Amino acid sequence: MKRASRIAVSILVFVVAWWLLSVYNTRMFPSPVLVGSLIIEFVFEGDIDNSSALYHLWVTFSRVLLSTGLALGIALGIGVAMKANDSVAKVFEAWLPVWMTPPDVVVILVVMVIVGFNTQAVVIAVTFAYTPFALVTIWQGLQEIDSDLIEMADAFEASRFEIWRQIYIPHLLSYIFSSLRNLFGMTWKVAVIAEVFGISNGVGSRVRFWFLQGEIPEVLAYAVLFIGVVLVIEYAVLNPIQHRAFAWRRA
Amino acid sequence: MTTVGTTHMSQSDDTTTDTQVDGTGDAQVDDTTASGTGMDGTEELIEFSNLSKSFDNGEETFTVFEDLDFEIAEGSFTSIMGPSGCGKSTLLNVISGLIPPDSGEIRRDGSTIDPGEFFYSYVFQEPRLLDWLTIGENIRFALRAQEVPPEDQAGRIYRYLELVGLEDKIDSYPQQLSGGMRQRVGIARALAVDPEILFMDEPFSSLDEFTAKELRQDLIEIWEETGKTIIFVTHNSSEAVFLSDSILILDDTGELFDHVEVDVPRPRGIGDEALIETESRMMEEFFAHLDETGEADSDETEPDDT
Repeated sequence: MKRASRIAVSILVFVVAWWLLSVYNTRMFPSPVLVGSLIIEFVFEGDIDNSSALYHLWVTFSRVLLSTGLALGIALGIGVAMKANDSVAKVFEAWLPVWMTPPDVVVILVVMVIVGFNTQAVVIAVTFAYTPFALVTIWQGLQEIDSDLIEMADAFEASRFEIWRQIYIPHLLSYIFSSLRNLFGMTWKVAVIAEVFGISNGVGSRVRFWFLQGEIPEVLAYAVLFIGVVLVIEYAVLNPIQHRAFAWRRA
Repeated sequence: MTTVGTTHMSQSDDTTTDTQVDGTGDAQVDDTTASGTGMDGTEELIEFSNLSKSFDNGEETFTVFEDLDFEIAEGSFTSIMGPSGCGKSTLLNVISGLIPPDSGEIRRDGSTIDPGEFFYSYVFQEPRLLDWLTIGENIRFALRAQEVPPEDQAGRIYRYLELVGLEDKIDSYPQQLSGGMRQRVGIARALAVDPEILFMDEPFSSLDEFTAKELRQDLIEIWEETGKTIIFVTHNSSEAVFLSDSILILDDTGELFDHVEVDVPRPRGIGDEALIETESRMMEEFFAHLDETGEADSDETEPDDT
């Protein structure tokens, strides 16, 4: 069975299961048809405050992308510094477990108290919470570099720049991709939670609004829309990039 | 100190012997000094004297080799042979400048030089190719590292891949090639930078014997075509006598105790009687030396019961 068919079949099975649940308990499980119609309404006609769901999606995703990029960039920078300097490596190796420990909710609340209830707070909180997870993956990649390749490059007197460009970075790409996917899968959840706590725009703010009204179908409409976009990014953007970047593995 | 032929060596003590084998396969142990001549009749020598190397792990110092003296004729094919762990790869790394010696001197054309001044390249035991680059790009990596002008790179890549018979694999990735092909690429990469000296560290030891045999033959053809000085590390005595003009033999303590000049004319065949005879005598010398040093060691450690 081709990949597209497999995806279509699994979506169909999910929708049918959802529909059966809605037949069993309409109040707890609004039907997929109702949720689907709400999605269309929010996207094309706007929410109750006339704001389009696409606007809120864009706001949330811009926060997610910015946080993910920052977390990955900072992790790469620290990883390179750790590789270049043993003292830096020792400091971060000692502090990484501590850095990974605080619960996301605590980080979000503390940052919001310090920075305020705004986009910067969401980005800072999410970046702070997930940089150590990216760093663990990047650092593992840097440690697993094949030292024979570095010795080969040294024997040919390759410059540090060439060694990074042709050996470290290509070797790290698989770790960067792995980290990117993990981050992307985690940061949007935290970003939405942060928005729920008190930001006036973004998907989280609409989820909070409709939750306070006690309207589950509207909450689900935003959730499904958001999950749909995440899946589209995963399959339509990240997968093809990864496919292209690692073409040599399938050669 | 005794020297013979194109390659001269000695140890600071008097345990060194030199063996010369003529084209008939008659090996002769010689303790006279003869004039060195390279394969092309020239006498340009690289002289290594008093080379020592030890490693310190913080608790004890381990001496790999001490006060090695030898000479290598430019343009020759010289092997460094010895059992595993005797320090032959370390010696190669010291000669090439990858590892600094504790002491010693290298002279070329009468002038003292630093190992880093050799324009060399290296063929490793494993090909050490970058899996994410095509074969052509792997060679370009070395050319770029050596600052070969970009306009010359494509021509060199093709020429040296052609030399090893892989010009049609220029756009393939390493994992699409067999082990033997990958090692050929390693050789092409090393030659493409046009080195004066080619260092080869057991390049065929991880290959099956059929592939290794084929590559040895190809290597000789490439050497004859390019005229490079090759310093080749091996623990395989048959390989050493088949390939080499001269063989430096280290024992298991890192002592450079023998020098064999293989005067068997080329082209050589694997089953040449002269080569078999050379190998046989060389190994007899080697085991006789081990017996002597073993007895000497046991004499030293034997308790005095008088």
